Amino acid sequence: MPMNGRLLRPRQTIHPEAADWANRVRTNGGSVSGTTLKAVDRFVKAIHAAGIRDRFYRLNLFCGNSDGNLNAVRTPLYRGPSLIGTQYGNTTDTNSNFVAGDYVETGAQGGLQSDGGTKYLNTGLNVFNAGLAADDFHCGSYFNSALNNSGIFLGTRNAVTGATKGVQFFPAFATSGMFVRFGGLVNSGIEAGALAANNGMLVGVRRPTGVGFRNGLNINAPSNISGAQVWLTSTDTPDLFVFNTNSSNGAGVSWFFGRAQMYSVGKGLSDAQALAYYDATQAFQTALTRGT
Amino acid sequence: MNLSDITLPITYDWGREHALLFSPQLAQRLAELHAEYGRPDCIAMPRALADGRLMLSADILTAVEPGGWLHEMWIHADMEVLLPSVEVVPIAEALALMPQPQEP
Repeated sequence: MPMNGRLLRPRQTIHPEAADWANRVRTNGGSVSGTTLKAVDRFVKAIHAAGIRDRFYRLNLFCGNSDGNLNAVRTPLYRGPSLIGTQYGNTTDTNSNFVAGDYVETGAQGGLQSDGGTKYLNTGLNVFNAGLAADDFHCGSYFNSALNNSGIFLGTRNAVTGATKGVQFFPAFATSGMFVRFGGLVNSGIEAGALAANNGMLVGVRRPTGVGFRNGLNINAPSNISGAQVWLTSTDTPDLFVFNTNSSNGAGVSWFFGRAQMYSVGKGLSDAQALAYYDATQAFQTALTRGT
Repeated sequence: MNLSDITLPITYDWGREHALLFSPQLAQRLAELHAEYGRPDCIAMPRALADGRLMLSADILTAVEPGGWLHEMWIHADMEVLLPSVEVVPIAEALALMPQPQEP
């Protein structure tokens, strides 16, 4: 009897990091479709193939099935620079005021929608305690619709008023472009980097110069690090908020308006690494029919 | 209009168009209820307005339904106190009382 050809084909395996994420979602009370798990798996494999896994200290693809507690969408894919090793921040992003209706997984309305006034996530990640340096750092996100008059997408700072240190990433502030402020709160990355459009994958980097990327391409914004200050203690960088800026472990100070399809935080990226990151992300967002 | 005038469940779209306003004293009571019955990973975090009151988007009322993250806290609240103490206004009215976002 001839051997069945299927026996000779290598079995498709899910990458351990994708499987780990799906298990954590289920442990948190959420669920994941086969289509989404496959897309996450491809993303994870692309990141590993590009050799950039260690760039990411926290990354959440905002995916998984919707439920009343937003369990899946709050479960980050990465919580440290590798699966084996120290993990940082909360096991899930702590939700402040998001409700189930704010999240749709797929389609043009896919992503997590803030209201610019009350909703944000607390990652629990203190970037200083995690060993991240202000001059080797990145923040990124994907926005499938144009941002209009948005605030700080991702941030932390060392005081409510008179703050001098922290992280402030304005991916597309009003009409004036991208602001990357890692270390000090002005002149510590990019001031008003011009963008061709206020959507797509927007990434801010210090390496140690300030660099901005849109859809994987360097926007060639002038670096301005004349006012850069380093983070010296954990109080310089309270736990990082997404869709807002933390000022002192709980007091948000600048709400973001818009819909996002992911976020990431970690070490700096070269031009080639940023392009590889974009390619993996774009494929993922396209798989979920929510790409630009 | 206050919360006792609202029939639950509300729709998400209606909730996005309205805000819930209440006193710091009520917020304190709600925080105590959250500590007792709420989830540590989902928190109702009101925002302070310029006039001293606190606000939440009314869409948070969708989370008080069974399966929502505020349900346990909601069913343990004293409705006779809570409902008349929460003013419901169009969201634009609350936005006008919000401190302006910081600019670069």
